[in-house]
Amino acid sequence: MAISSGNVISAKRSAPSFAGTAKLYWRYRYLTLLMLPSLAALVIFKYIPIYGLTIAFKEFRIKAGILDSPWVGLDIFKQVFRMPGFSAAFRNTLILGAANLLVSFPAQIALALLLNELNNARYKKLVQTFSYLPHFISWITLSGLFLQLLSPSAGPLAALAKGLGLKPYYFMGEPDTFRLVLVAANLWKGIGWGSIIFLAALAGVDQEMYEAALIDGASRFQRVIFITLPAIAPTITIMLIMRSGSVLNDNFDQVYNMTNAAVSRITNVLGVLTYDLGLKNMKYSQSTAIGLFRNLVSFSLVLATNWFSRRVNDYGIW
Amino acid sequence: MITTRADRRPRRVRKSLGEIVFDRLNEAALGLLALSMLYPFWYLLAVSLADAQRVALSKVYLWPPIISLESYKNALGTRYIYYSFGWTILRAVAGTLIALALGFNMAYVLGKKYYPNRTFWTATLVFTMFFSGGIIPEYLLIKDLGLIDSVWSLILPGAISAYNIVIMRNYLTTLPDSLEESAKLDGANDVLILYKIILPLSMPILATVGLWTAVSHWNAWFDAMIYIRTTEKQTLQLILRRVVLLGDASIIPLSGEQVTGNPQMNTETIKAATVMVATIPILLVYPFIQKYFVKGVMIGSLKG
Amino acid sequence: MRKYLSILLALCLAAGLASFAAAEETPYAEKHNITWTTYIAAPLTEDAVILQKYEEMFNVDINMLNIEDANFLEVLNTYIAGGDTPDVIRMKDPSQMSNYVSQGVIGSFDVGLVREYMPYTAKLLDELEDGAFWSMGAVEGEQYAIPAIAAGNAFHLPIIYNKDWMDAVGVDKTPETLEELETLMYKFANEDPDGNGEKDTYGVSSDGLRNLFGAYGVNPGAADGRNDHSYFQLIGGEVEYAAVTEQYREALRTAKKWYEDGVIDPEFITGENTGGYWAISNSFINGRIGMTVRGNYYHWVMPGMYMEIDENGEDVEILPGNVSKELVAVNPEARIEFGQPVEGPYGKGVKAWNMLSQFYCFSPELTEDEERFARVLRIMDYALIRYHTVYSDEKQAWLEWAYGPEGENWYWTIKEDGSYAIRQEFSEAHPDVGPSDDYGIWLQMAPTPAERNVGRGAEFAYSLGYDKDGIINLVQFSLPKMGEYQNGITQLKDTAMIEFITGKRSIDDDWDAYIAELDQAGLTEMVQEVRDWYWANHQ
Repeated sequence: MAISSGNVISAKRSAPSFAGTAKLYWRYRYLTLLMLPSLAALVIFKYIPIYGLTIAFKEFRIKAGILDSPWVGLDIFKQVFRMPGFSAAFRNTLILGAANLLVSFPAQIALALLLNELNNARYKKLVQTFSYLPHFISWITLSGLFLQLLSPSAGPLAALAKGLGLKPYYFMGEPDTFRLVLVAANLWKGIGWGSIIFLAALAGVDQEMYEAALIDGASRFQRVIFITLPAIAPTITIMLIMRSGSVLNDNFDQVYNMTNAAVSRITNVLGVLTYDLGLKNMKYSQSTAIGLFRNLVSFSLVLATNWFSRRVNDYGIW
Repeated sequence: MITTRADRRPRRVRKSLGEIVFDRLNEAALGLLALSMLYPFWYLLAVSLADAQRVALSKVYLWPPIISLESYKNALGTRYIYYSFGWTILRAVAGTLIALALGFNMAYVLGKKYYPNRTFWTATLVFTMFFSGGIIPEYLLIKDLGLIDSVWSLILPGAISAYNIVIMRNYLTTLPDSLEESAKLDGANDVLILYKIILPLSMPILATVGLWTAVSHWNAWFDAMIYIRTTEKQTLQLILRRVVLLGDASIIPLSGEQVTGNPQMNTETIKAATVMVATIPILLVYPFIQKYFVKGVMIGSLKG
Repeated sequence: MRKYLSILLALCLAAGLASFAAAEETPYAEKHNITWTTYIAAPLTEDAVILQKYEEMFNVDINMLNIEDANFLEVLNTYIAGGDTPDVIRMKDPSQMSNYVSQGVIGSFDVGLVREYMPYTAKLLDELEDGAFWSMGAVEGEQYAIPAIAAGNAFHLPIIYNKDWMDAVGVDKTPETLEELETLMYKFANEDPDGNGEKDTYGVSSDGLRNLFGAYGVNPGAADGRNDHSYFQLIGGEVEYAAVTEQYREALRTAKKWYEDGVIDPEFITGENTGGYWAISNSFINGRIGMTVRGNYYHWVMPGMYMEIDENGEDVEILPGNVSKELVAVNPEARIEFGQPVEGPYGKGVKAWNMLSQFYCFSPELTEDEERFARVLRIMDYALIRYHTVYSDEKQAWLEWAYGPEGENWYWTIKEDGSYAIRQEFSEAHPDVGPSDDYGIWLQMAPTPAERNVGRGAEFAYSLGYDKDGIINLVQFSLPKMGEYQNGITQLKDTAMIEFITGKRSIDDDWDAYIAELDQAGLTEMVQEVRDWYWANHQ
């Protein structure tokens, strides 16, 4: 069934008939051969288990298993959407995810560009290696460190503020500033790791273009704007498209470890809801429904971004 | 705008004052950032080496006043941890190689505009980035395939990563088509072209994706917890988690009741030592990878 | 009283062992396979020595599933959904039981069977709080679980004062009334107890509020900067949700006054622990606050507070607890004093952890097969008897069989109590010995009367009187509606508590809105459910 629907798509565009398509596959048989093992793995390990999603439309009985649980249509979704905390959790997730994307994504590109401008190769490697380190430290450890760092009475930031004659602020005690803390901490933890892909893209930029620009007397800033950025634009575009789905990613691990009772009205995110439902209360159908809803939204966002990107610069995932 | 400049002579430019200021500021700013990122790691290193009986762990030191290797003895205390090192290296190396091979092949094919139903195949792949069946059907699949307690249960399910393949495909499409065309004229087939010509040019992206895959294998524990039954086959992270949990009395079940741990152990130093043991080996991989991130490495090899 | 009970206990044990000895003479004809889950601190191998001993004694093949404690539920549920339901199911979180029952995953059984094949354990459960724990393991009259009880939780949380600060402000005994507490807390905040010339000290932070609220007869939430569980208490003869009572409201008023007067650390919102071992109060250790109610008494034991017995049977000074260790490392001269709950307008008390720690449940396949089920019950009963045996030649023989020569690999700490310890070198070298007493076949948290709190540590806690005045949650697991509404309600309650204390919301004007908010989140339904359950099981 999967293959025939593929033919429908291709029929519209290129080969007029089934035989034509088959001919094309034969013509590119080496490519087909190359892709076959990957496709087999994809089908076995990704597509076979996908029937698990059906429990969002079923009253899942753990004993009966996924296949034999009774269908209930959209009842589960109705239940979930009517839950008292759902809309707030959705909103909180969206705000946090969007803020994280808007802040972290450009920052990772900027870090890669700045690292690229370092002249001393050893220094560059050192800075780069250090920048990955936070990726390896869990949020539970980091949350304690942030608590100390941001303490309005004992933290180093407060000491700095006092030194400058400012009044230290209790960032972790207020919902609004707590969001800032979450976004900033997330930026700091992920910036080095996230910049790797852009560094790899930068490694591929043709050096001759720089030399030509140098001859033309382009300033360093101009070179970055007119050569470097356009050269890594495809990578940036692809990354942006794929990350656009992450606005519904709420960093559950971070939020769960850093939150406190005074700010819980903004840290109550979809991840917390799913955790409570699925794990604490064994409501697998409900937590799957939330996950499915979330992924549908992410998927649509990615499709939309991809479409937009295609319109604007004729580049996209497909 | 650029070409309006009259002087077209190549010059070993002397940097302007602005550039020098930028360089120094850039160095300073990135240095500060790097230090802020080193700090928590350094702090954990110091804690892991502290004598927990005599040094206050909640106080922050640049270096513990009394050094002790006791926590490393604890973290590395069971013989299982040595099996687990081998086991983890096996899954990381094999897992990364298999994922790279499967991913790279697919990325190359999907990058070919002329390949039939390319959009459909790409969509099929990208779909799995967002939709998965969840742990229960995956467990049943592994069970039905007879892979329970086998290293393949840790390698195969993650071997195809849509995210990584899209990124590799994107990189491959930026390579000039001319390379391939001339090879084709010489009669090379696609497989030969991919491995003889394209592969050497793809080292930066392979290094990146390989690093991601290796690190995720190295840090993974959930799959091993579910699929691996034999004690000798536990992976490193799983053992280390247990070492920490055993010493950690903070196992507070949801009912709020407490379970007391072994008072002889100090959790904080062991936790810190655990992070070190788990992280330092993978950090040692960086220097080997970083050479692929050097400017112009690709074009250099193009000409070479 | 304790003496009397221990005699009773000894009699039970004798009876238990005798009945077991009788059973041993009739070998078990048929060999059974049993898959087992329990609390496993370290993974067991198939050839774990003590496991083999059980297998041999009871003619069974035990397949012990090494499920990591931290992710116990996820793994267990995956196994069950994947068709690998274990026969013996450790219900790590008792609140989960009703879910498992409604999913049909666990089997109900006849209590009579338990009494027949597990006489020792059944008798203990009958005696503990008049058998109240049995009913917690039942759903609609059907028994689904054998409750496991954490005897150590008989002691309430410790109340810790900074003795140096007390001396500095001229107070020589720990407060016994709310007035005395208030006086001392104000002195801590205002009279520069650390003598550094700056006004940088406070009386209490989040956890110490338990003492203040206890004087009003209630337990506060939001301690530790985290949500605290819903607390149900018997107030005025009825089961009440503590955080909506008048007592709680009055306690909030006092807390608000303290906050405004700078007695409560403004950073109580993010709690006293800034990372590290969970029981540590960094605020207390770093000299920001002078009183706290956090952790357990043994975390705060200072060097030499009482004598412990070492491996040579000699009395040695007790080493510092996990929190004191940190306290002493920061300030070697530090001195603390254990205090008592203060008497206030509505009595006194501080939080005690739940006694009910977990359930042991069984697969329907097991409970339907009486012979296999009986075998499992016998194993569990035998394990508990062995564990509880004060001292006997049999226990000595068992230990020698399992661990080797006494003195070399293990030693009695208090022989007459039957408590022993395994030398660290031995346990490190032999991680595969198998379930020892601490991580036994089901012994962790097996039903244990408070009288089994033996050893010098427990004696110390008794001497402080910490077995009295604990504020206990009436519902130690969640009922179905409670499971649904609890998280939402707890969050609203804890946020409100902070806002009432910091003055963001008015205790006078916003109280009704607060109650309405909780009602909308399902409070009325939840309270009704709890009342129905409670009065059906308590007269």
